[in-house]
Amino acid sequence: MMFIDPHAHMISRTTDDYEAMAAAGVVALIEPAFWQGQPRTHVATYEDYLAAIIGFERFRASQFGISHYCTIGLNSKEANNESLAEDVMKILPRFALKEKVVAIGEIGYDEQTALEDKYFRAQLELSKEIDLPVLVHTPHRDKKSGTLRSMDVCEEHGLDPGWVIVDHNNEETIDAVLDKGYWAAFSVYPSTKMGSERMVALLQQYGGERIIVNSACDWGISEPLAVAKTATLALSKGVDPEAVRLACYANALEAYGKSGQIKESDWLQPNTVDQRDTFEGNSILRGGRQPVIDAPKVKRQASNLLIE
Amino acid sequence: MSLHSSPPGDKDRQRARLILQTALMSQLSTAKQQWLSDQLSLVAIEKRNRSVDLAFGLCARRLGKEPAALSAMQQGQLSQIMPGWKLDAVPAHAVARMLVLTCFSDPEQLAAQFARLLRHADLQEQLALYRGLPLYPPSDALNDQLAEGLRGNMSEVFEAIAHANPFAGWHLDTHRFNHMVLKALFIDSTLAPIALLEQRNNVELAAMLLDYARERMAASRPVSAELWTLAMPFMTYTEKKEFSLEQAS
Repeated sequence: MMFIDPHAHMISRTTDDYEAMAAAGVVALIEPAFWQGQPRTHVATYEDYLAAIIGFERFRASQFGISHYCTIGLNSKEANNESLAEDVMKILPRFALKEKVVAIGEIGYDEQTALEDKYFRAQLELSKEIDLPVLVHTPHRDKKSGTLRSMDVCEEHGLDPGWVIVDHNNEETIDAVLDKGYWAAFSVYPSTKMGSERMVALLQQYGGERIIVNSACDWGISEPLAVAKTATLALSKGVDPEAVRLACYANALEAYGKSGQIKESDWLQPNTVDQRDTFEGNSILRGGRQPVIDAPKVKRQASNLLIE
Repeated sequence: MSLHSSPPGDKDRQRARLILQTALMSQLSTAKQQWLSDQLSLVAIEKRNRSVDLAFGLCARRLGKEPAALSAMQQGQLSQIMPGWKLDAVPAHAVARMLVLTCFSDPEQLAAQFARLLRHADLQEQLALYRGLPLYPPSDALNDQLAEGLRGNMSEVFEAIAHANPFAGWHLDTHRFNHMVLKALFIDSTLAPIALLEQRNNVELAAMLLDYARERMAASRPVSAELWTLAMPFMTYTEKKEFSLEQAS
């Protein structure tokens, strides 16, 4: 089965993770611009970060045969630093128009402050101006009202719910998000967000329509195999395979595909000249070293002593 | 150095640009031709960052992803002017991006635009910037940008500079050129496509390559067979014996 992980902060992950994801069937992933765990205090570091997720990270993923896409945005936490936020807003259009940028995101609320609101709205306007979908990060605290408010603001700005992916949902928010016509994304992330068994229960109850599963793996204790694991668990519990395919692959492709920047042929037929940045044409292959994505490795075990 | 390793002058660069522009235009639909020539005029007249950003940024979206279709004759003409420069595996949008940059003929302005675009460049844009180097007026500032590209970890960017591209051979000093060759081996790339390699081969390079071979052998790692072709002309009898390239007498 092919999977897309439409929310993965690979800049914080190792090559072991890429290797394991490829072996588990992840063919494509989307890296939303986010808060790196420590606030950036200069626009220049923000700029280098955005350049890294459209450049080097894309290259890293390609070494493992994974197609890498990203979203560009000013996140809600750093929106609270007004001078930084003003400068970041000026550079966003330049990055948002790059190839393989599939949305503006992740944007929305953290503590639901006035500044967060201001830059959320400004970025919704930007998304309309340049015809990109929006990835909305819903707050960890005061989640339900923050989620409702995020959707209200999207409607106030005239966004089509079919162009908005509302992320980090749970049992409390799913009904409102689906009822209003948005894509409902779930981050299967240990301890703080969604668990895989709970996710399977939701798939059993709601089916796969407009539901998107992601890992949101980042610098915290998280699981880059969350999409593949959830899919396997769902199938073993008798969830309709079509619902699993929608939630773990096809819906993300359709929602982000509205950008025109992600297509199934990117990984099914990676043979055009423009795909020199993918696995098939990768220079590492040309140089003779075979990328190792054949079988899941056990090198994380301290008992495996060989380092070659 | 042979005649072929000397850099082309302004006139040669203009001729090369014309060949590429003709080839590209003839493969584009009328609407795309119009878009591109509008952008090129706008950049040439205005010379503003904003028009450069838009033209350069939009090339891939507006022109599609087909490979650049140089005819055998056009590639032949190009090779005469700039031996070693091959553009057969380059997308059409990359050639268009090169043309955008050639609107700047002043070396200083060109290098500044190159550096500015590179700061925000995605992978395909970086490849276009570096693949097009032979078209641009040389300068120390541009050489520094090239060094930056060689220093990175993306093998495709490295190869956009090192392979089928004579610019490094024309303009890098011996030290930097040697490091480029050695790095090609380090990243499991190949030496054969490096333009002007034979002409730039030198005794320091051979010494570095032999040290590298010793290091690899000590670690029980394979040594690229390409290395010996370069090192051989400079190897002493003792060295040849050391590496079993000469029968002991």
